[in-house]
Amino acid sequence: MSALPLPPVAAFRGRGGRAVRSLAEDKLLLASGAVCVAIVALALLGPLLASGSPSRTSILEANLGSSSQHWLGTDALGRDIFTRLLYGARLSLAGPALIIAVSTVLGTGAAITAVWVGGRVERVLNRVLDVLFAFPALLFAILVVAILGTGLVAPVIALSIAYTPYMARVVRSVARRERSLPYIDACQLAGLSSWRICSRHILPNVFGVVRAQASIAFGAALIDLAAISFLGLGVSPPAAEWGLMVANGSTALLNGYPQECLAAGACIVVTVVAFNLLGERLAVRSEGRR
Amino acid sequence: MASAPSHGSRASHRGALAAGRTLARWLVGPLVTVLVASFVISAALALAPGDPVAQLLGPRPTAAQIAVTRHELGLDRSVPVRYWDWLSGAVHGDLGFSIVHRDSVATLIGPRLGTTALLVAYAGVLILVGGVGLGILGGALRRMSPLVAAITGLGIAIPAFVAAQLLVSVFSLRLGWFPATGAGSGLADRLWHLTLPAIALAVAWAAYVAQITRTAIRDEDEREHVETARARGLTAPVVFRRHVLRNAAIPIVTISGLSIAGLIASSVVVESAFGLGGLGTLLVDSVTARDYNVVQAITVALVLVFVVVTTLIDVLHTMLDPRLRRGAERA
Amino acid sequence: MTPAPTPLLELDGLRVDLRVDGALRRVIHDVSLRLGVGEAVGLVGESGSGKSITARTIMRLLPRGAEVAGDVRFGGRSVLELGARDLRRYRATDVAMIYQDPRAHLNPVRTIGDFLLEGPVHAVGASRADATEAAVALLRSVGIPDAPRRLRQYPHQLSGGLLQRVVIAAALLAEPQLILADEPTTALDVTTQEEVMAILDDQRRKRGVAMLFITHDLDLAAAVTDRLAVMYAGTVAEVGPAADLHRTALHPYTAGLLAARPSTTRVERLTTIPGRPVSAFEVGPGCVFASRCAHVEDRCRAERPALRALEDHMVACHRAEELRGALGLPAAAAR
Repeated sequence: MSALPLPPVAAFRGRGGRAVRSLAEDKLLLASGAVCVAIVALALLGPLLASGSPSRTSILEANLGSSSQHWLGTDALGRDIFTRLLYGARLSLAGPALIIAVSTVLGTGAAITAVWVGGRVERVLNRVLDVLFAFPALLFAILVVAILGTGLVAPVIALSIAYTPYMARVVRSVARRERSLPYIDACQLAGLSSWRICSRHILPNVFGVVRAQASIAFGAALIDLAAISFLGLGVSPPAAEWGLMVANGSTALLNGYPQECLAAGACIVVTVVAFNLLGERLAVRSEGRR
Repeated sequence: MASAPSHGSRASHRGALAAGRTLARWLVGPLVTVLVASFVISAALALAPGDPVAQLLGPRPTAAQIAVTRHELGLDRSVPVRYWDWLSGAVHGDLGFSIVHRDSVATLIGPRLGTTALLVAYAGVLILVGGVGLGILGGALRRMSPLVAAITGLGIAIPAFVAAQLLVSVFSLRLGWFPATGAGSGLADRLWHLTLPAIALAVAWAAYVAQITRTAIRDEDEREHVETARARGLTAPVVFRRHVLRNAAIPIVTISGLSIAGLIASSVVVESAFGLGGLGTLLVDSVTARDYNVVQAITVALVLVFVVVTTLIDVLHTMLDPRLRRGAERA
Repeated sequence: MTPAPTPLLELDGLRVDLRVDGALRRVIHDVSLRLGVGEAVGLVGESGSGKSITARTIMRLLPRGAEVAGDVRFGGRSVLELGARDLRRYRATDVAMIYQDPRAHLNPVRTIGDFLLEGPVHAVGASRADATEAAVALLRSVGIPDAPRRLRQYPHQLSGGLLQRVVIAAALLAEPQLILADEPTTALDVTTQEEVMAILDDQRRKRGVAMLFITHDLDLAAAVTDRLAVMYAGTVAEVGPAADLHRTALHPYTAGLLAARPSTTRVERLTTIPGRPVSAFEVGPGCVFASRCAHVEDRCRAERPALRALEDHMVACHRAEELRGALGLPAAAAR
């Protein structure tokens, strides 16, 4: 039987065929990206913008509503909520940023190692990652706090470990697909070192999904870390941090002054939505390009 | 003829082997996970900095007092021995002694277990009804899809402790429909008290489950075999039930199961937010007070529940997907 | 062309636009084709020439947002205007489809029995017992002897060749008048390809079912069909008798295709058609093949030739009469 020489299948349907829209066309990506950048900028520059001190208490000005002097009102100790939110952004975002940085490096490294070495190493690593993946991060963080004591260090260490499998899983699937492509065999035949193939060929190809997953995991880590603070197991009270502010404001909320609680809660929700959306759009882009 | 019996015994041998593998996967594996996890927890807590004896004896105890107390608490023995003692006690229901509450850990946990279990079960039902329901709606009805995506995108970003404050400020303080704190007594009263906590607990997970459900259904709907079913003249409801939903059930079950496991962890936060006297609040108090026997008992118990849940998911998964069944190789 | 007074299937000036990222994109320019009762026609062309879309249009299985002009008539009735209930009946009993990759087209979590029976039971309303009996008999006739056992198995437990036989059995089970076979052997091993093709051909002939056979393999199509329709860039370039197309080809594209087949007897450099195959949405106002044709004139670039009768062929070429006999067919001549 003879057959015509077949060109690549024309893209009349199927996922791969969808054209990747240009950056400017993806309005959701641009909007969520802009919000993320704005949030990070506020966290970095916030203290310059704020007029007062985040820790200046004033019993006479306790639980004030919003006014020109206190945009979002004051908390039970008379501290300006807007100022505390701005200052709190640093602590609230730095923790998750650290967690994601560490878990991204660990997860990517573990996944590429597993896929590259294969065999028993891959099986063992996969088993460990799967067990860790199924274990709730928050519970793990509480346990580590029990051992190392309250503060920011214990939960950050715990969550860095707990988020590693989240990163490793996506990298693993992409790296496995990449590993199976013939050009990798060609690289090996050409005598390139494993290190060089992994770092120069496999790593750039997993970058797209890593970026997307890191953005989504950032939101999740922010929530977990804020929960730890809310429980009183993280940073301790005089410090300004969003999770802590929700906990702090809950008493005032029961007394009819919800402003601190809801403002801090809104900061968390808006940040998480923005980073989730950014991650989702990035994931779509990295899927589409493939 | 002579080959027939040997063939039969080989087949039964293969069957026994498959059964053995299944047993290993669903019984031995999880058991080993629990044992390893409990040992790690026990060892880590034993090696943790800080001395519970100092807490117990107050300021300036004599060396003799310290030695006696350490011996009484078993702190002078090696880590494996202490684990072994704990394990053999735990099997018989003896979970040790709380140095803060000066009571046995089992009596502390007992009454609190009910509250946490009820809360998690309540939230679980909400997730299955609300999350899976919303997801099916968004997956099946194209016009609902963007709305469902928006709702779930927001819901997923609302942490349980923020949802708790919102619910309290609206439904307790403003409308007065539900109590803001407390667990109540009697089943009806407890359910009434647990309604807001259960919703707070369920919001993010339900949104997550709905998101996964919606995409699972949409993905399945685009598959070739669904097109085949349509091409054979089957009605849309039949195609949806027999092919789309049936196949999407596999990821839906997985994520629902994982969400139940995640609920157990998040319940700690919700109990704290609503002042419910459950396992979660006991855990947090014990962590703060360094009451290690309580911490150990609760975390190991949660790991146990958690491993049981994930094993059940695995079993269900195998029931739903014939490709995962052992002994079903190509023939 | 077709002797039957009312053809079984009639495609009349079919034009299809698909929605790609919100914009309409033309995939079929103008396809007209007739199939008589019990007749087999091969629809031949390269990937992207619009063969599969043609088949999907016949089944009304186009993706959401697609726009169709022209008409598809089955037994004189317009398929495009069928109501929901009639469309289901048409799909369930009149036309059956066989796909390229049986593994993707069978639900992996349902048994072979479920797959075979759901057509008759759920779409037609037959009793389960009757349908099972018919299915077992059909499986035997497509060369699957241990049918009762197979009915309880899952798709992943069967080889690709066996699965395609199951799909053929499922198609025949509905007792359709027309089978659309979309590259039914392309995804199979070379050794099973011929077996499966022979079974399909044999069963179809026995039952007098018409077939539209979609393939990129000219020789295979010629072996199992009565007439061939050659498609290029969303249009039908030529329709002619299958038996001697390699001698009588009138369209330069058909001739080029024939010349590009590798010979099984002589080792030589393959003749290729210059340029790359264009997609339907890329072509200009003229002949779709103009950019690659060796015999192109100004008229070819300006005006699209219509499909017209010439001898016992239909051909869409302005210069068909002049070029008759001038389209050298070296590969065919060498056979």
